[in-house]
Amino acid sequence: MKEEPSILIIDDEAPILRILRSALKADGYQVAEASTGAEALSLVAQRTPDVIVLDLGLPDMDGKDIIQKLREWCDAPIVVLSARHDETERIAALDEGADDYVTKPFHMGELQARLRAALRGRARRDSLRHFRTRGLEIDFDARRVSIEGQEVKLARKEFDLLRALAQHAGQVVTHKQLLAAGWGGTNTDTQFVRVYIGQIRQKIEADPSAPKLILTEPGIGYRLIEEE
Amino acid sequence: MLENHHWRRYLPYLQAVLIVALATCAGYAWSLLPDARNLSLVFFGAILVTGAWLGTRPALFAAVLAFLAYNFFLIEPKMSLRFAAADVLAFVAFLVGALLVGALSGRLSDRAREATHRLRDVSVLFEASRDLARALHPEEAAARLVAQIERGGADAAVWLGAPPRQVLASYSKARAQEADTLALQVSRVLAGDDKPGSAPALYRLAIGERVLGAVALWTPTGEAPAPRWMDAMLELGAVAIDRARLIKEVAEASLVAEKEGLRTALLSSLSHDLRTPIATIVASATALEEHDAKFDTLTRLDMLHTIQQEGDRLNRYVSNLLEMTRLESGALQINKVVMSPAEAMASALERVSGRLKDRRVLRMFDAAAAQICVDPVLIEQALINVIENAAAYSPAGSTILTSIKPDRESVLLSIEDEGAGIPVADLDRVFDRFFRGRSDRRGAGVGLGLSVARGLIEAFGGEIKAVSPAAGGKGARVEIRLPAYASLEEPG
Repeated sequence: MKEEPSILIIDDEAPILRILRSALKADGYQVAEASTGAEALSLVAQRTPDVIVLDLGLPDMDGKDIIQKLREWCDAPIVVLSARHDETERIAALDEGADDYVTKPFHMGELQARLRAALRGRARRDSLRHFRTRGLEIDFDARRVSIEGQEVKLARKEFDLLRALAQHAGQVVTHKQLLAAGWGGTNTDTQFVRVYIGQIRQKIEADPSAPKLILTEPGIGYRLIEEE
Repeated sequence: MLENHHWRRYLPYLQAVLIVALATCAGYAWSLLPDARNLSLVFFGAILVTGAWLGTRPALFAAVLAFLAYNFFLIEPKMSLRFAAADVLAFVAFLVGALLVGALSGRLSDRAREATHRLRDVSVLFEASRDLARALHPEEAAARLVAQIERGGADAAVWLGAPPRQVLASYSKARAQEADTLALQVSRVLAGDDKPGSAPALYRLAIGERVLGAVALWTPTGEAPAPRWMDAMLELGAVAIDRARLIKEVAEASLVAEKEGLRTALLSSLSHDLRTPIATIVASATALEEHDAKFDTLTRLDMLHTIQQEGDRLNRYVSNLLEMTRLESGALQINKVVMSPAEAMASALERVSGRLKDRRVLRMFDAAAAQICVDPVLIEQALINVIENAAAYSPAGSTILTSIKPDRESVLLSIEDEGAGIPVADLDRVFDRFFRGRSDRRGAGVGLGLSVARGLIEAFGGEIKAVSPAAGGKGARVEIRLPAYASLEEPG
């Protein structure tokens, strides 16, 4: 990772903006700020940041529209801030091209972890050959999975889903994205994603009733825990 | 109807004519016999029959007829009216007989008729009182009163309230226009200035001194005397209207009381439970700002930790208040999907794991339990609320047992704690808004958690209930029953 990654924070609430600025500066980011969608778009046009934090409740523009506009010529990862109850809005944001989300109120550590995962994700996604987290190891080329050194047999679709999660480790992967990864389309019922994730958990989780590797993001998708 | 009525009035006279005609035929046949005597007795008999059967007037009418027929057909010279002095005696006898028998039988039949009428009145009134008693609103009572009066063959209109603001509450359809024009008279009747009038007759509806309204009555023949049962009917109407008014007042009063109670509870909850975390946060933050140098690292961390915890707590309160408001206003958007109950429970437990650090959490998830069809975010919220409630009312170090098992056509999720339990009387009330257990208040919320949980579970077509003591003889168990959902077949 290059030193001093640049970050653009788009939020209209001054106190949040202030806290984020201090915390992220302390964390080693070059911070730029925007409090409206229009301002954000013009900033991004001048200089593309490495990562973007976007509050979905901006006064001048709908969050989805901003993501859409940003995605026209900017592929920097976007982490969305949203209220806990707006999961439809969150799903829409992810569908439009946002990479992850944090619900407000958030713990700073949580946001920082999401940002790190987002910055890492892009570079890693395509070149990833091998993945390891908390005793779980995945060899992508050999399609081999092991837990604490013990090999685990996964069915083809189970492996495809786990690979999709691992490629986005630390980040949310939506039901839709998992459907695409496992079934090659989104015409299947998301219920099957749930069933398959259940099966994967049976095989890789120490206690499937208390999953520690694949976490559920209710209504949105799943997140594979990343070892940092 | 009216013509029919007139015709009925003359029927007895027609019958009298028939009886006399029969008697004449019989007498005439008798007179043809060689030794015919006392022919007048045949007619006398006819008069007695008429009197006994039809009453005095038809009997007198029959007497006159009989005398004429007797004279005309049977007294020599036949087929002519010629009066002799002796005939006067027969005529007087006929009349006296008619009067006596008529009066006697009239009295009897009057009494019989009266008894029949009374019976009918009683049954009409009985029906009416049963019907009127069903009214829950004064207007409904008025409508039922009009309907009952119509059943009795009259038209009516009912006003409710005191003058000059009495309202025409109900009326017979045929009298709509007339009823409208009566406002002034009704006012006067209600004010007591006017005697109950006629055409239409106006009556006051009152219980004792209290005037409830007025009734206008149109009898079928336009005659002034109303049906005999009318007084009793109006009395019943007044009672029913008064009763309905009281019911309405009681209902309104309890509604106001409930709203008032809710507002008080909300205010006290806002003032105490929301202010406490705010006060803690502000106090800690200002302490850190002003005395930073004096604190050691541990104290500083402790204060920061407090700020974080209280912030989280505040967030939970506000979330539940928001959820409650959405539930009650019907603004809650529910996106149901089919999912495994174990996933919902695990996800809820994961989210509250930070607050369950000093509890032992047991999971008994039966893999045979079917899928459920719920909103994944909201079911998590509901389960979190139940789990947090279990944590709030049980001591540190105790066990929280979560279980999922199939139960006939449903799935049973339960959360059991080892706390003080819930008194039997409170088992239902724990799901009421702002209800809080009396025992350990430490960590307890605004009393919205279980109430929100119930609202959500019911929105998914499920049920929630509390059982106490739980299996171990202590603590409480909250059981959530959700409809089982069949799994889909996987394509290709």
